[in-house]
Amino acid sequence: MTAVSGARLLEVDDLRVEFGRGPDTAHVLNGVGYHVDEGETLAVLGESGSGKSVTAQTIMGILDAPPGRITGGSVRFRGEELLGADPERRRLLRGESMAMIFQDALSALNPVYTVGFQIAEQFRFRRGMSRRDAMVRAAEMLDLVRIPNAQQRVKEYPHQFSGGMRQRAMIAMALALDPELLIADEPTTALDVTVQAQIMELLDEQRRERGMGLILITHDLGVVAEVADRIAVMYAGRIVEHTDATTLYAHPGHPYTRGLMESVPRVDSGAGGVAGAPLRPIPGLPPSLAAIPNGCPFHPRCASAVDVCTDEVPPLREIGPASATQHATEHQAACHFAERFAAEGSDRPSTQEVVSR
Amino acid sequence: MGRYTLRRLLQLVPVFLGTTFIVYVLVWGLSDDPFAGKCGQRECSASYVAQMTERYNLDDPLVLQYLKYLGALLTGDFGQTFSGTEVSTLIADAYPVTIQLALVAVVIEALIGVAAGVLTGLRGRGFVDNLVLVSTLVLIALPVFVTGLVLRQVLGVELGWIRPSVPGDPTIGQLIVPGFVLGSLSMAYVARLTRTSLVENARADFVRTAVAKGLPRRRVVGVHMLRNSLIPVVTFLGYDVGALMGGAIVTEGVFNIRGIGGLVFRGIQQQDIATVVGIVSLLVVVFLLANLLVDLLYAVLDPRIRYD
Repeated sequence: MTAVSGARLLEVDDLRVEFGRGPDTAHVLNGVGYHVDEGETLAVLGESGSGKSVTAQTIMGILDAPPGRITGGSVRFRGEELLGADPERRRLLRGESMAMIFQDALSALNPVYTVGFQIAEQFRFRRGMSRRDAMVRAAEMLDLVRIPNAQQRVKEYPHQFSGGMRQRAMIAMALALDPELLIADEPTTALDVTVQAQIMELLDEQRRERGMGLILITHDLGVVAEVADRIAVMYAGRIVEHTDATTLYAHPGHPYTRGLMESVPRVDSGAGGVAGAPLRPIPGLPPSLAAIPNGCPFHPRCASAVDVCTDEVPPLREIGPASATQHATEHQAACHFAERFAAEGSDRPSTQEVVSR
Repeated sequence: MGRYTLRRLLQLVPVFLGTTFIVYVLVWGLSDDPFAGKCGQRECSASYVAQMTERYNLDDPLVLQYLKYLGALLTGDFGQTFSGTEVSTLIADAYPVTIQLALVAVVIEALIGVAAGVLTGLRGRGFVDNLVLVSTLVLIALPVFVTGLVLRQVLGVELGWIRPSVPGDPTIGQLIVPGFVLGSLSMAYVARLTRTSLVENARADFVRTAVAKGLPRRRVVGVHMLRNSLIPVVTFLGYDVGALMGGAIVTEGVFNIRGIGGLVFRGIQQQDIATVVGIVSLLVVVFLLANLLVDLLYAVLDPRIRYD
């Protein structure tokens, strides 16, 4: 290991990824930066196509290239630069140091091999265990993620598992080599609500017990509210806001973040939100990544956009505490008027209310 | 799976009865005079006609004729040709070489086809990919008799590497070129099927998962990509075995192989009705069994297919 002591577990800096070539080149990532520390949960929030998953794939080194192309930036794991590193070195990091679970466990698991076989593979080919020992370990992993009757179920195929069980098996597979960083790419999107809560609980519990960093990619505000230490909001391949969960819910500094919150239905009556209140969806569509608007990429959809928004790209900058009630924390937003929005606060309920529902 | 197999075997019975009945009716029922031209320029003598009518139960209603034929067939009696030879003897003489030829063809198309498909499917665009795509297109476009005649002429006559005409009891080596000709079309399809299937699976989510697990590249390709990609290829090969077992009239003709295809062909040409019915009945059974085998194989290869 060439780990630098004191370095962050994972640090992504100014990451740029393009897809395709020529005039139709899609600028998928345009300078993404975030970091995760041990034992910490970072939620990455954003619509489809905002670059959440591509960032994760770039970190893991499993980006399809071509058509993807990394044009700049850096990804450092414990201080070690990963972009441009030896492919074999990166392979050895996968599973061992960083692991990933995917949205649709049914397609992410190989349909023609048993669940146990697929978990055991890592023990066999990364730990040099015998087939038999690896299967025993696989059953233990299934047991760990609370799959009942694990001894029996290791011999079953993915299609014989229910949706929630499949995602549990995915998690067992990701945790097999005890990684230090777990990236969960929309782990609950394909599941129904009760199962979602169980899966989130399991992930959170494993993070606590193992002290691993967790990157939780989602578009579901309800999911992140409960577990995220920090939230990074992505839009058109950029981080547009980054702060802790409490601040984000109370003082969203970017109109896009606020738009996301207002487009989520509420079932209870809180301070600012009323159950049954009409939803306010964000108008328009995310921009085509081959033709991202000049200036602030969000300005065509922003109700508060003025001239400066169409001309200047707002950098992601520290906007500081918006009110006295807020504990001193970093709060970055990429909006020319972030301070104003943050000070206004959300006309939606605060985090506590979201958390406690 | 056992119950499924049994059910499928039972399903074969009506299919067998239906097809053989249709064949029987078509050849016996639809010909006005089965003995036209059988005795040279003259009309057949009354005693000859009487003898044949007796042998093939021609006085009975068609359905009864068929049932009597079927009864004999079930005891292994394929009947006799007009000239009195046992049809079963003809089959026993011709079938071994057909089976050998079919197996040689399938092995060649599986080996070369899959190898070419894997080579191009993994490498992606490039010279090898283009070479395989173009050459398979040529093989698909060329009729089998052209491939056969060209190879016989070049390898057999011009270069003298092979005997242009395969001897009566050929060795496997002598069947390689005819097998290649017979399998060439399917080989091209196998190559393309393998290639497409691999390219599709290369982007599959489960392959990405395997990579994300940090497995060695050869493990990802050899275990996660290939197994899934070969499922359609194996089923295609299975059906092809069934089809090739039915004989290859053109290839057998070009290389002078006395197989089952030529036997049926001559039977039809000479209006030797008993030969045609007998062989076709046998081929129906062979084809049905091959199909059943493919369906069972499919369930073994892909656990999502469940039959019970």
